[in-house]
Amino acid sequence: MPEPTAQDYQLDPELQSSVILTSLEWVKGWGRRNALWPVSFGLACCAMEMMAVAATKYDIDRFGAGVFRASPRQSDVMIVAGTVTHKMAPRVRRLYDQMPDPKYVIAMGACTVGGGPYVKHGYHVVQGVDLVVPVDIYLPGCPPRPEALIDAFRKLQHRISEKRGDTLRFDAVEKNREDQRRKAAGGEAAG
Amino acid sequence: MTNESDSQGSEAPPEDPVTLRALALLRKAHPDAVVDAVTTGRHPYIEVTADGLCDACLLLRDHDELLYDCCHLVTGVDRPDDQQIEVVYHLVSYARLPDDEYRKRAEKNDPWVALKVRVPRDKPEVPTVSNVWTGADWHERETYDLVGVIFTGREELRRILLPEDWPGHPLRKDWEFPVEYHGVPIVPPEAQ
Amino acid sequence: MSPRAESTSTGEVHEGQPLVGRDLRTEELVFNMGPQHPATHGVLRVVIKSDGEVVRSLEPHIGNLHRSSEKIGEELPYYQWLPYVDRWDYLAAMNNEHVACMAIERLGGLEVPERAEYIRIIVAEVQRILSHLMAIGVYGLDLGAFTPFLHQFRERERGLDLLDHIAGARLLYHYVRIGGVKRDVSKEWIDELEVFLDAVEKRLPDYNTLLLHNHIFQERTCGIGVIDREVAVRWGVTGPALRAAGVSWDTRRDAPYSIYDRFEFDVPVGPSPIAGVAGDCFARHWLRVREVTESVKIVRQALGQMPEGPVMARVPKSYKPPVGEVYVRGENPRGELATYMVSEGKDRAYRIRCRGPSFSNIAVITEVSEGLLLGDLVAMIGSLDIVLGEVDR
Repeated sequence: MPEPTAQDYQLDPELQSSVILTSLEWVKGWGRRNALWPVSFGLACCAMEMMAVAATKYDIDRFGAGVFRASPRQSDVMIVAGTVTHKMAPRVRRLYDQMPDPKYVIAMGACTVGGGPYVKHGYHVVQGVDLVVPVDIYLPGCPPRPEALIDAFRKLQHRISEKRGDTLRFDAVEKNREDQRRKAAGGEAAG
Repeated sequence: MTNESDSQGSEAPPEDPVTLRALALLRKAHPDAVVDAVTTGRHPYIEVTADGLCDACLLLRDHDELLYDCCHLVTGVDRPDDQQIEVVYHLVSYARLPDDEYRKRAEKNDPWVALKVRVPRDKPEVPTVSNVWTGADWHERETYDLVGVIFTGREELRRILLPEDWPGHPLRKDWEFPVEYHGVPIVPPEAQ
Repeated sequence: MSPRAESTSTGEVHEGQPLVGRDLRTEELVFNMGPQHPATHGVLRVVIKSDGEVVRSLEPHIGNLHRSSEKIGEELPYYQWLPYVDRWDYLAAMNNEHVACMAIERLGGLEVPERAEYIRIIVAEVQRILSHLMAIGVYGLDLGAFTPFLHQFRERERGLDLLDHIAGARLLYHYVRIGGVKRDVSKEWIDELEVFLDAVEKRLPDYNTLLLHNHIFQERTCGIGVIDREVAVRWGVTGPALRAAGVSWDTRRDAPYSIYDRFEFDVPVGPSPIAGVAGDCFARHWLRVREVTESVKIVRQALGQMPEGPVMARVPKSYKPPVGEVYVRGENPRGELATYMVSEGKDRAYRIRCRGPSFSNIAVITEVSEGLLLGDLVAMIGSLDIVLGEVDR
């Protein structure tokens, strides 16, 4: 639904130029998307490019996402920058759980998107971080250039203002897990 | 493996003085420990018995003409065809730096001596050298973790890279991929 | 009666002696640092047993970034495995490739063209400069100084652009190939490189004003986290950490690989003449700063000597080195990278083992961190400049 404007309420023409009417939700979304605080969570190679984005030349602060926090409890977007391994996966999940709502995840790099170069023989690499946490933005590249990460942030901001929340692969995995759990519980009850 | 594996030129390949000297002193002090030695080629090594490994290492470390004070690397190589596992130790010396012979070979980027131990694959037990060189501690743990060599005589032998409950030792040639680990599939769900 | 009251009733109070330590009882506390911690440089997890602010003992837990590259090396042909080498020490991809290619070439007895050797040295040393710049800047960040980080990234970006021009990637290049390098460098690129070297030399004193000669920085690092010669050698510490401890060993000079014997350069050894003692955090930081200058020297000499010619040897499409093994060492920015490779005459290796320098460099903290303050532990880990990619591989 489009946001209501001053015209919709048939305000006095003089007031129309000085009054903005909108929903509180929209204002909240506007504030949220322009002040993203990422958790500084470097896993591997991609973390170097994440640092480059925060540093001199690329300066993500221009887009309001430069306040890298060391604590997940103070941040609202997690950039999973680097390979997630099976040993690391529960910790990634816990960090995600520690973040306050609303929270967003950018899967940065081929490894987090789907295992990357380690997809076939890498026994210890999780085939995509979306098997562990729901992902909002997938950013391919090995590693992605800093420009690409800036683009990912812009896309995330767009998503936030659109209030979209479709995390398909994670949802499918969760549903699968839930089914298995139910089946196991059902089997035990039957047995 | 034989000396002929390295066939460069028609004349006899030059002997490696660094390994020769270590070999001579080892044979003199612990004649039972030395099994075999390759002193030519790109990768000369001395093969010792598992029981004699600790004595050999102590000699290599403490003898005034050897002084190998650092264990650079411990590797396990699985050889299912021979039903054996090789454990290879690469040792370097910083104390011998003024030594001409060592430095001469150093100029060819080879200033190390290699020890090999072969143990049966079904009972891969090697005495630890972590009490000789502290740095070997983590290397031994990694060799246990990935190849499954059991180092005896040390206080704890835990996995170092993989989680504690990981199935098997991945660098064994007959290791099989598990399907999933703690509910996270190792094969992606789309491919199942 | 509480233990506190008991101790005060028996203890004698002397004039001018602080009560804390004699009187105040603290409990031993076990806690976790990492894997998500800005000062662990990745996913290192350290379990610390501390008494108040003092570290009693600690145990590093690694493996959170174990990416099974040794297994992959047994599954893939040599040339397909090379990109994985970049990802060991992702701040020094060119150096990794150099060492891995040397090992593969030595297995098969391949000769590399002269010009390719020079290009390899040039890119490896540029990479060393970039890696050390990062280490210098991030060390400031660890100790609470944000400015050096932002300054060094200006030069680092210029260097990354240079490598981007020849390799097509900013971080992981796959530029050094078996038998040579991917493509030749142009005259324009060399001009750009010289501008970059001048810029680094010009800016280095600025960084030193910010860190090395900064009184607060010296207070935080001098005499902190001392790794002495005996401990460093015993644990297999290599690279700047070993040289800072007073061992004059640089593989480039003492066991020259490639064509490093053709260049004149100094190998700085700790302790730093500015401040501190041998093997402390300050010496390690100072050594990196000095090594940047030496790398600039090497690149300049290499540019002057570089001949014309091909940059790639004739390598058979299916490269099958004969049965044998090699052990190759090379000096990475973080220490000695070594590769043990076993060939069974196939197009892929039978066994590959990589010795990442950070693996041994981080193991040493179990011994030397006892008695450090918690804040100094951060300074200690930062000064070792570890990269978890090669600790876990």
